[in-house]
Amino acid sequence: MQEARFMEAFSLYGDAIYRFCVVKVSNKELAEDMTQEVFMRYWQYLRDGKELTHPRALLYTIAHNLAKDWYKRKKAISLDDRLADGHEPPTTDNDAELLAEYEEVLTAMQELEEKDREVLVLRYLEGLSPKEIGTILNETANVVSVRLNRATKRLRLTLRI
Amino acid sequence: MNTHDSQLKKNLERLNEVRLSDAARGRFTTNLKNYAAFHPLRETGQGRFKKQVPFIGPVITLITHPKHFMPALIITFALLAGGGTSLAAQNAVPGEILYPIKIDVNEKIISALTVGDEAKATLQAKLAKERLEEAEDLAADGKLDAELALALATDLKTHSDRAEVLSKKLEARGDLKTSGNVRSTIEGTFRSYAEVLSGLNVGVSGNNGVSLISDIRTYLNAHTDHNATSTTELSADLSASIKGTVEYADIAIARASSSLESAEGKISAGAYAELEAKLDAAIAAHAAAEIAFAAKSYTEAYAEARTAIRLATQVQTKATSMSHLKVKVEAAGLDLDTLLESNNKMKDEQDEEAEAATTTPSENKKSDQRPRHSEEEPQPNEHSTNIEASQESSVEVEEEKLNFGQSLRATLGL
Repeated sequence: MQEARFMEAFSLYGDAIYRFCVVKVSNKELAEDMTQEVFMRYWQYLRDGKELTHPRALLYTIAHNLAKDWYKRKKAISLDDRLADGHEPPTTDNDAELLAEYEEVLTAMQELEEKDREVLVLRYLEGLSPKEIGTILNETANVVSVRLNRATKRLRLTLRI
Repeated sequence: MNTHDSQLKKNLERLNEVRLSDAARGRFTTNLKNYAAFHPLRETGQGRFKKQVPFIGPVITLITHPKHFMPALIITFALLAGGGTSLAAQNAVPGEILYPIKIDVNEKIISALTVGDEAKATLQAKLAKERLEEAEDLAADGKLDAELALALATDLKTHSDRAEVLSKKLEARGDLKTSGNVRSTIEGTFRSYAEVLSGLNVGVSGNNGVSLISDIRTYLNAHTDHNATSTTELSADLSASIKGTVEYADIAIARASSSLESAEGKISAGAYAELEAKLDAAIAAHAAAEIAFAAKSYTEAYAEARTAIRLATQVQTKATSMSHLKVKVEAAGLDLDTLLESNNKMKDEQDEEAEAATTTPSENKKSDQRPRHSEEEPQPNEHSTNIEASQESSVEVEEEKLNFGQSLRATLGL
């Protein structure tokens, strides 16, 4: 039962957690390792008999904490290094224009601070509320809203929106 | 959401293209399934992971054995007061803080509450197996040093000797069923663990456990001798007890079959085939036991039934052990089959003699009809195929294993 729930969580949220990790660490292989680690730790929660109807917030929290640990140990990887570090554009889409746009957004994101990136992804990509984001990041909803507002302005500026 | 926000959202949504590749998704699915299997749920796990102190035991004792009232009361209080620690200690291995609680508190309480030679003998066999599981865990983690190996060997000898003394008492009373079950179970368990530990010892533990393995084989040989001498001149008076042994062999085969089924896909095809052949031999020995019993050849029936129990125990122990170890060993970048292969090359002749000593008529008959299934002589083609397959693995596969290994080691705190 729990095993099925565990694998279902990976099926549902695997991509989203991976995306979150990519944005956090800008490295495909590291993001993959982190994604796997996130789910292993999630399994430890289930092993302890903790019931979670909605594991998404917990998964993001684990990913956030893992990334935080990683930042403590490593310096942030520069955008110029990301291809060398194994960062690749999506392989499923060969449309040159879309790839360019993807690169543009990713470049703009990388120019933001890591904290700005994560709130943008959680808010706009994953659709979480400031309160939910606050739970994950261990911040108040107000702090998240302020950070979100500031990050939005910076990204708009970079993307000239 | 204003126009600017909508535009921003639209731009950000392009990042939705960032997804796990199919290869990574497939790989993670397998890894996570293995991980979950390797770390079963604590509350509902089966077998070796479901080790709990029987809290109800002391209460039952209070009711059914009033003369044990005071000790049971003390034990009950001890369990209630320190139940959490006691439970946590059940998974401890030598060298860990909680291990003394497991040995000096939990197991002594269980021993104290075990009444009757039959139950005591069975408990000693279980405790011996527990020591071997601990040795296996330590060896797989590369933590089996000479000091721990000596401590485990000492405890193992204690349990082995106690089991044998109790088996003799039971045998003298005509309880061939329990004495036969205990001896055959111990022999099958020791044989399997001696093999697995040999591979791990050389490949992972830097040969620190060599004395322990040598001791296991010594105890094994002692049990083998007892088995050989205790199967003579069985009269019809003992037919009920012998029938019980034959029936128990059937149960042991069912358990082994279930364990082997669970191990399918988790262990290599070669290892699976080897265990399957051994299980077939156990089934054949059981069939021979039933035929002999029907023909009132009690001595032969008893010997065949015990062979079946021994082989089935080996299958069950090894299937469980290899499934348990495979993820752990491969996480360290090693190949379990290769480790066990190296062990097979190093086996001494003493073991083979011991195996030959307990080979029953039906095994001799069958040896000409099917590939030899004994763990002493693994089928060379299967192992060489495994090694070749391992050597031919692509760099990508090796890297994947390494990545998972790193993650797993980190998770396990290794």
